[in-house]
Amino acid sequence: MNPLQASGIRHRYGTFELNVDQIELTSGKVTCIMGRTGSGKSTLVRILGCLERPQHGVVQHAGGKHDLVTALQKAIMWQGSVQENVEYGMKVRRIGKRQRRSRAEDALDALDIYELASHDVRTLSGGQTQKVALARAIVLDPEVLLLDEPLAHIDQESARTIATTLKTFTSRTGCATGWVTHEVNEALGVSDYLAVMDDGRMMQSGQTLDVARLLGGHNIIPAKIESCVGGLATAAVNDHRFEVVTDLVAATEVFLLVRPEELTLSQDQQPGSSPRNHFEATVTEVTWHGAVATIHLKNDFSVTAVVTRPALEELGIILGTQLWVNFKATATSVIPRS
Amino acid sequence: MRRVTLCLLLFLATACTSTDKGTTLVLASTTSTQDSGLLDLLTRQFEADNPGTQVKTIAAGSGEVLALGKNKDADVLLMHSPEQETAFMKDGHGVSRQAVMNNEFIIVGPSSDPASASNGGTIQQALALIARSQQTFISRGDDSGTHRQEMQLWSAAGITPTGDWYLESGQGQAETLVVASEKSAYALTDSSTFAVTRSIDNLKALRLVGLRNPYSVIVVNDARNMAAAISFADWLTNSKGQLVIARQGLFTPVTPAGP
Amino acid sequence: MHALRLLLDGDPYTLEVIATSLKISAVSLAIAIAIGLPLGLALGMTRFAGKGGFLVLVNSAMGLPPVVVGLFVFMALRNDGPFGQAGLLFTPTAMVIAQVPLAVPLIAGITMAAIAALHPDIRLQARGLGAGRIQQARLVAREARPSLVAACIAGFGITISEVGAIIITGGNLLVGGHNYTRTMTTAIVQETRQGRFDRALAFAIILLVLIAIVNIFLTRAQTRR
Repeated sequence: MNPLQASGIRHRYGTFELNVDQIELTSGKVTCIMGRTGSGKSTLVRILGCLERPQHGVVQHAGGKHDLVTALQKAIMWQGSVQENVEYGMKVRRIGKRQRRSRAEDALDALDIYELASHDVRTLSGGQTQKVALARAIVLDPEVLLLDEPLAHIDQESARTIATTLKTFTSRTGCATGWVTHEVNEALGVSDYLAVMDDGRMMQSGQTLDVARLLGGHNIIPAKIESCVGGLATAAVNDHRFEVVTDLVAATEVFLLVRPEELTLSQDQQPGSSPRNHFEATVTEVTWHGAVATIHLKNDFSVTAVVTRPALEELGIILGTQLWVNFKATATSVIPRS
Repeated sequence: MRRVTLCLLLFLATACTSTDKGTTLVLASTTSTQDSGLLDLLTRQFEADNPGTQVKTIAAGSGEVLALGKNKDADVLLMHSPEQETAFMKDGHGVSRQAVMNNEFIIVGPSSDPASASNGGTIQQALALIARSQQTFISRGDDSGTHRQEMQLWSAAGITPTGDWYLESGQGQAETLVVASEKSAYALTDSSTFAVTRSIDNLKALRLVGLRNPYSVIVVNDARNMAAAISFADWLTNSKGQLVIARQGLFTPVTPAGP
Repeated sequence: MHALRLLLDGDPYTLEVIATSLKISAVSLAIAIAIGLPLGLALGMTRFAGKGGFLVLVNSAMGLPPVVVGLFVFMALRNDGPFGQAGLLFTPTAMVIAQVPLAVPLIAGITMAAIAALHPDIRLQARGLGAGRIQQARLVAREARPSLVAACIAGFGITISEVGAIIITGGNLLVGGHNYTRTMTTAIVQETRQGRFDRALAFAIILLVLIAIVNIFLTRAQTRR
C-alpha cells in the first residue's frame, strides 16, 4: 500500500467543488499536483494532510499523525529564532534537546541557510522564510511530506538547488512527497508522478512523461546530458547540442520538454540572440486553428511550433520550407528517463 | 455625529446652569436621617415653603459631615454626635446649634436572644451579657455618633471589646444591620433606621430601658449660603419642620407639634 | 502627609488592609485567569453554531457593572438565598466569588480578540507539523502572549481596584480588631465617609503605587522575549 491514498474526495465550498476520485503518493517519489490558481490544489493538499476533513471521501495514510507533515503555501513563522522554528515539530514529538539541535542544524545546512540559525524570523526575506518553512518540515523525516508551492518567493537560482535538495531528500529517505505548484516547468522538472488539476477536477495523472504526452502540447525530445556545471547542462540530441537548466549529472538519459509556444521560427540563423538553442528543420505539416497555425517541423527529430497568420506569411511558410527553430534554455524542462 | 455632540453639549450646559437659579443650600446629614426617609421629606417640604431655594443633601458618617462643615463644603449640618458637636462649636466652626429631634438607641439581635441579653434590663447590661457569652456583635466601627455611643457604653461597663465575636463593619447603620441579620448577630442601632431597614427579619429589638439619641442642626460659621442655612435651621426647629418630623413618626420632635 | 507616614511606618492595621487587598485580588485573578484564558483561547480557536451570540455575551459581560454582580452574589449567598446554607456571605470567599465573574469576561474577551488578530493558518500549520490540540493552543497562546498579558493586566486592574461588588459581599469587616474583609478600596470608602480624607488619600496613593509596581512586572513579562 502507498503511504498516502485518497479516494472519492468531494468537497464543496461556496460555488467551488473539489472532485477527486483517486490520488496516491508513492514512497521515494515526488508527485506533483499541478494546476492554475484556484484549481483546488491547496484545498486538496489540506485534505490530504488531514488538516481539513472532506465532506465525502477517505484519506488513508500509513503511520500516525506524526508521520504526515504539511508545509502550507504561506510560510507562517512562530515568534523566535530560525532554530526554534525548525525545532518546533521535534518539540511536539518530544525529541530530546541535543537531537533536536543536531537535526535542525542538518536541515538548515541542507537548505543552505545554516548561518541563519540564530536569526529572528522577523528579519528574514520571503525566500529565506520559505526555506526555513521547508527545513521545519523535512527535519521531521516524515513518511509523507506535503509541500504547497515550496519554491514560492525563492529566487530562480536557489529554487533549482532546493528542488534538487527536496528531490534527493525524497529518494534518499523514501518519503512520499506531494508537491503542489502552478508552474508547468517546475512540475515537469521535479516530479516522478504528475496530477493535473483544473476547476477542482483531476484532469490527468500518472507518470510525468505519460501525462506530459497525454496533455499534448509539449515537444518531447529524447536527449542525453553531456555535462553539467552549476546547474547549466549541455544535452545532446543526436548531433545537436542544447543548453538546459538542470542539476542532473552527465550521461543521464533524459527527455527535453518544450512547449510549442516557446519555439520561435526564423529564416536565418540568429547568432547572439537570447535563445542560444537553435537547429534547422523542414516544415512537414501546417494545421490552422483560427488565427494561429500549428507547424510541424522535422530534422532528425520532430517538433511542433505555433505561429500567427502574419508571422506565417512573413516567413513564407509552405510545406518543405527550411527554417531555424530557436528556444531558450529556461523554457526547457528536463525529465530523467527511467 | 456632530448633531449628537451638539445635543450633548447643550444638555450639559443646561444641566450645569439650571442649578444656578436661586440659592442652593448644601445640607450634610448623618445616614440615619436619609436611611429613614426623613431627609427627603424635610427637604421637599422646605423647598415647597421656600421657593427659589434648592437643598442639596449629602448623607455621610459623622466624621465626613463635620469635615464638610469645617471646609464650608456644607452650609448646614444635621447630626447626632453630641460630643463632636460640642467640640465643633467650641472650635468656632458653627454659629448656632439647636436641638431638633430624638430617637432611641436600641440593641437588636437574633429573636432567640442566645446571650439572654434582654435579661440585662439596660443597654449597658445587655452589652455586658453579649460580651460574656461571646455572641457575635457587629459594631459600626466608623467613629459615627452611634459608634461613639457604643464605645461609651462599653467603657461604662468596664469592657474592652476584643475577640472573634466582635466585628466592625466600618459602614452605615443600615448596612451594619444587614450584616447583623445575615450573621445572626447583635448590634447597637438607632430606632429609626431599624424601623425602616428591610430584609433584616432575623433581628428583633431587645426590650430594654431606652437611651435617648439627640439630633441637632448646626449652621456652619461663614457658610456660603448663610441666609438660607439660618432659615433652614429656623424652619426645622419651628412648627413647620417639627410637624413634618412628627407626621413621619420615626423621630420625636423636640417641640410638640402645634395644630 | 502625616497619615501616609503612619501607613508607611508599618502600622499593622494598614498592612493588614494591604495584605487583604492583595490576597483577594490574587486569588480572584488566579481563578479568573484559570477560567478566562482557556475560555478565550477556546472561543478564539473553535467554530460552533451560535458562536456569534456567545461572543456578544462575552463582550457585553466585559462591561458588567460590579455593583450589580455584587448584588447578585449577595442575593445568592444570603441566609434566605439559594446558597445561604454555605454561610459564605461577608467572607473573603464571597468577595472572590463576586470578583471572578467581573474579571473572567475581561480576560476571555481580550484573549479572544488577540487570537482573532493572529494569522488564521497558524494552528493549521502547527497541526501540519504534528501538533495536537493542546500543543496548538499553547503555540497560539505563545504567539499572542503580549495580548494575553494585557488580558491579565486588565484582570488585575479590576480585581484590585473594584469596590462596588466587594463592599456588598465582603462587608468591609474587621473581626476582633483584625482585618477580615476590608481592602484598600473599601477602606478608602470608609475613610472618606468618616471625613478622614488624609487617610483615604494615603490608601489611594498606596493603591496606585502597588498597581504601578505590579504592572511594572507584568509589562516586563509582556515585552520579554
